[in-house]
Order: sequence, then structure tokens, then C-alpha cells
Amino acid sequence: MKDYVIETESLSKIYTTGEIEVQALSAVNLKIQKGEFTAIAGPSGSGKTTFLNLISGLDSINSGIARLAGKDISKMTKKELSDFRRDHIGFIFQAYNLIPVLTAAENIEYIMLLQNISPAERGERTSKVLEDVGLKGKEDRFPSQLSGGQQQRVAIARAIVSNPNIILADEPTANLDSETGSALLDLMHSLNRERGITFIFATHDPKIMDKSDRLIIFKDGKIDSDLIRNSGVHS
Amino acid sequence: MKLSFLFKLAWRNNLRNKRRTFLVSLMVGLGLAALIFVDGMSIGMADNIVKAATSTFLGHAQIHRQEFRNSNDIDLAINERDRLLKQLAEDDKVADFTSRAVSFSMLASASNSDSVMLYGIDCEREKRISKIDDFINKGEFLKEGGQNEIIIGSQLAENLEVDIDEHIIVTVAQYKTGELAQGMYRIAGIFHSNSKVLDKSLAFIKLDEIQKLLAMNGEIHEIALNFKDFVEAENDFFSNKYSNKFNEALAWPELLPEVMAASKMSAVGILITATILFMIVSLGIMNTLFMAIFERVFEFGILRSIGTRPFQMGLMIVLEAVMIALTSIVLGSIIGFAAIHIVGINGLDYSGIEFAGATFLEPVIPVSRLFQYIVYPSALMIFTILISLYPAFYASKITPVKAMRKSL
Repeated sequence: MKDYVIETESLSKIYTTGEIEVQALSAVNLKIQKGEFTAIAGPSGSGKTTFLNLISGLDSINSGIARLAGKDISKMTKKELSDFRRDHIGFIFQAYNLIPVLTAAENIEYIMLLQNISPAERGERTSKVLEDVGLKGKEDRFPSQLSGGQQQRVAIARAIVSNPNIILADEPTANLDSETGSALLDLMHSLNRERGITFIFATHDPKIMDKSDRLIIFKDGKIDSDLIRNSGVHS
Repeated sequence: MKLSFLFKLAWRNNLRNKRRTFLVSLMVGLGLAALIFVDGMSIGMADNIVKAATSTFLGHAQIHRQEFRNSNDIDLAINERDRLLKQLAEDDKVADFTSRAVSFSMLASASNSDSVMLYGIDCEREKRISKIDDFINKGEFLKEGGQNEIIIGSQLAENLEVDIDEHIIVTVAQYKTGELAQGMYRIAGIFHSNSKVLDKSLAFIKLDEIQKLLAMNGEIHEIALNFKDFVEAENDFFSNKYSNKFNEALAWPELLPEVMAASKMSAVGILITATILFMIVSLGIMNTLFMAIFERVFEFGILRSIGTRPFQMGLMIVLEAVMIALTSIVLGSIIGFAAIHIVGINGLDYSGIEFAGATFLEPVIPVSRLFQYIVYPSALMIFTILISLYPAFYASKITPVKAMRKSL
């Protein structure tokens, strides 16, 4: 039996602005296995980000079911959703979105503080993950003292440090130059290969699409195509 | 999440816009400083007026025959005078005392006449209780060797159109019999106390002379005394010890209820001022918090999305308000303390102004008390926390997607 980390059934979302209704997502059925390195592509407004918002519980579902790690997120309260995101999902954003008043190490520790992890373990894990993303020695720098690529590395470290089931990344390379973007993509790919972390990208970046095991194209809120190029799910 | 981390985060968030945080802290701090200073002035004024009222003529406490204070009936002389005077002389808590006899009397000069309260006083002991001798601005105070001398207030002298060394006729109704008696007295001194009541309606002759004039045979109507420790006046010991079914022993709070009432009114005034001030400064803090929230809505969306609970979001805002309040309290306490001590060097001169029936004699020195640096800052902190609940609630209700609009 396959181990699905995400399952959606007829997942739909309608946005209402005044009297205008926009069908952002229309009856999407999708299953993503643990350890997949999946890219969701498509034109702007096709529903990529909406899909990520719904499966992470950041936005409310109009109809359908979304299960993440086997749990139906549509039935969770706000507090349960917060805790669920904290414990099961890592986020990587286009604009890095680090907390500007916290150092690199503190940004990474923040999520572990939310999880009430002991100081000793926090320190150990932070140190390890900073080394993994190539930022050893930059622990005490504030985001404003780091380059864009370094900030995104901190964001990746923050996303993986809590050992989530899945990492959702929305245009993670869009604000980076080609070389830095490629390096970060390699980093995320190696994390996927070595640790079996599931990555789902919403992207326009051809490099991410090329590197992904599975490429799902969204169009007008529906899945237009679903291409599995590498069936091997990496443990 | 550790509270210490949230405090650190709140502190750093406040320092993002140092100028704004400093200005709002200064504004709130100045409000607190103003309150501490006004309270210090209020205490200083109350102390000053009580001191003025008690040291001018009243003394810290007095003993009369029951009902004498209401009727001024000269037949109501103090019961067991000699035993009482001996008891007071042996009382460790009593610093000094003086005996007085008092009667309504009519004073007549060649030009005019006026009714006054005529006091018979012990010249030497009186100096240790009241300040009448200090107020003499023409002539001299009563002395042991002098005979048929009187001192009157400046306003009374003006009304009678007399000056020192001139003579006036004193008419009284005698003790028990009510027979009229008259005596002629030389004006030995004229005093000016700045108190209209004293300057206009009191006159003093020697105790033995008034006793003779009233045919009182050594009886007295009033004993005025000072305690070694002024605080004793606020205890019940004096009343309990010296009051009985004949005599009434009262300390200044009962003798000067208007001063006590004014002091209480002043406290209510401070409370109202404090409430208004705290509401204004708290609204200033609320405004700052909302500005800070609106600047960071996107960031709040991120915090919510990575698992920060709504309660933790709200708590972070409350702690930011707490940090502003703490900064304000430090600033306000220092400024308030400095203002009290700088103004206290020379005080504020209200000399001659009457308040609650007493007259300020010395500059008002604002007073610093520990509670000003505990109660008011605590109240400010409570107001701040209460007022921060609204922006905290707002922040806790921020939904990640709406906050971030685009992106995740």
C-alpha cells in the first residue's frame, strides 16, 4: 500500500469579491506520495498557490477533502491547524520572510520554541541544520546582514529543522539569481534524496520543473496534466 | 513558547522604530511624571496646611469641656483642671502644652468697636505652642511683668482705628453670673498672620488677667498641646486617654475637619486626574501598537503560517505594550523624582493664601513617597495591559492568507 502524504478529493475553492465569484480551484483530486519532489506549474491564476494554501490549512476549503499526513484538515480548529502546521509542514516563501529582528539561529530556533523543544536539543539541531545549508559561522547575523541566497538558506533550514512531513515552497528561487537559485535547488534536492523529505513547489522556474520527479500542470483551477518522470520515491 | 523569548522578541520589535518607541515612551513617561509631581505637590500642600493650621494657634490637639466647642459657653470650664495638667506634664508622648481661657468680648476704641474672641494665654508656654509671638509686626508680645496689655490682629487694629500704645476697652460677661465687666488695656502689640480669621477676630491678654476679668477663679477653657511625634495626632490614644464624660480631647483631624475634607477631596482629584491621564496615555500606546501591527501584517501572516498560535500572537502584542510601559515607567519615575526634588529646593510660594480655613505660611515643598513609584506605575501598567488587549485580539485574529495576500 502506498504511503500518501497528501490526498485531496474534489478540492474546491471559490473566492468572492462583492458579487463576483472566482473559481480558484475546481474539484482537484490529487495524491502525493511520501518522499516525492513535486513541482506544480501553470500560468498565474491557475490555482497553484491556492492549492498549497488549502492543503496547508492556511485558507479555508469550500468543498472537498484535504488530508495531510492522514488527517482531514478541514475539520480542524484554528489552534489545531496552527499546531498541525508547526509539527507537520515546513514553508519556504518567495521573499524568504524571515523575522527581521531575530538572528539566523533564532529564526531557525523559533519553530522549535513553539514546539517546546529543550534548549540543548534546539542548539544542537540549529547548529546541525545551519551546517547542512552551508551557513555555519553565520548564526548571529540578522537577515539584513545576509544576502538573498543566504536568507533563503535560513528559510530552508527553518523549514526542515522541525522534521516536517512535507515542505511547501512557493516560488523559492524567484528572487534569486540563476546561480544561487540552482545551488539552493541542489540543496533542496539533496535534502529530498538524503532525508526523504517531501517537497512540493509552486513554480514558474524551469530548473525546478526539470529537477522534479513529478510535474503537475494547473490550468484554470484544474489539473491539466500530471507527469510522473521518476517513479522512484526516495527514502 | 518561553516567555523570556517573547519578551526579547517584543523588545526588539519595539526597537525597530526607535524614534517612535522613544517618543511614545516619553509621552507616557511625562504623563506619569506629571502625576507623580502633582501628587507630591498635593501631599506637600496638605502637610503644609496642616502644619500651618496646627502651628499657628491650634496645636496638635486640644482639651475642652464637653459641648464647649459648640457653644463657647464660658461656664463650661475644663473639669479637674489641676489633675489634667499634672497628667499631661507626666505624659511621655506630650511635648508641651498651654492653658487658655476664652470669651466672647466687645472691644471698643475711641473710634469704633468690634466683637472678638478674647483669649487669656500663658505668655511663656504659649510661645512653645503657637506662632502668635512670631506674627507680631508692631510692638511686642505679652510678657510676664506687663499689666493690662493686649495684643490684637492687624485687621482688627484697622477696624478699631488704633495703633500700639493706644488703649481700648474690653467688655465681657462674667463666669457663672453673666454680669458685665470691663477693663482697659494698652495695645502692646499688633500681629499679622495672613489669616483673615486670626487677624480680624482674635485678641490676647494674659491668662491671670482674663481669669480675673471673668471672675473664673483660676478655671480654664482650653488646653492646647503638641505631641512629640506629630503622627500621634492620627491615633486614638489621645482621645481614649483624656476624654471622659466631662472633658473632650480631640486631635487636629477632628478639630479641623475642613482640612481633612480638603485633603480627601484632593486625593479624589488626583484619582480622577490619574484616570484621565492614564486613559489618554494608554490610547497613545494603543495607537502605537496598531501602527506597529499594520506595518507588520505580512510578517504576522508568516508567523501564523509557521505555527504560531493566535494566543501567542496576541501575547506578543501585549508584551510589546508592556515593554513600552516599562520604558515609560523608568522615564516617568526619573523625571517625576527629579521634578519633585528640583522644585523642592525652594518650594512654590503660596504664602498668605488661605485654603480650607488655614493659611500657607511657608513655601510648599512637593513630597516624594514610595507609593508614588509603586501605585501609579502599577496602575499605568494595568491600564496599558488592558488597552493592549484590543490590538492583541486584532493581531490574534489575523488569518495567514489574508495577511500575506499573495504568496503562501
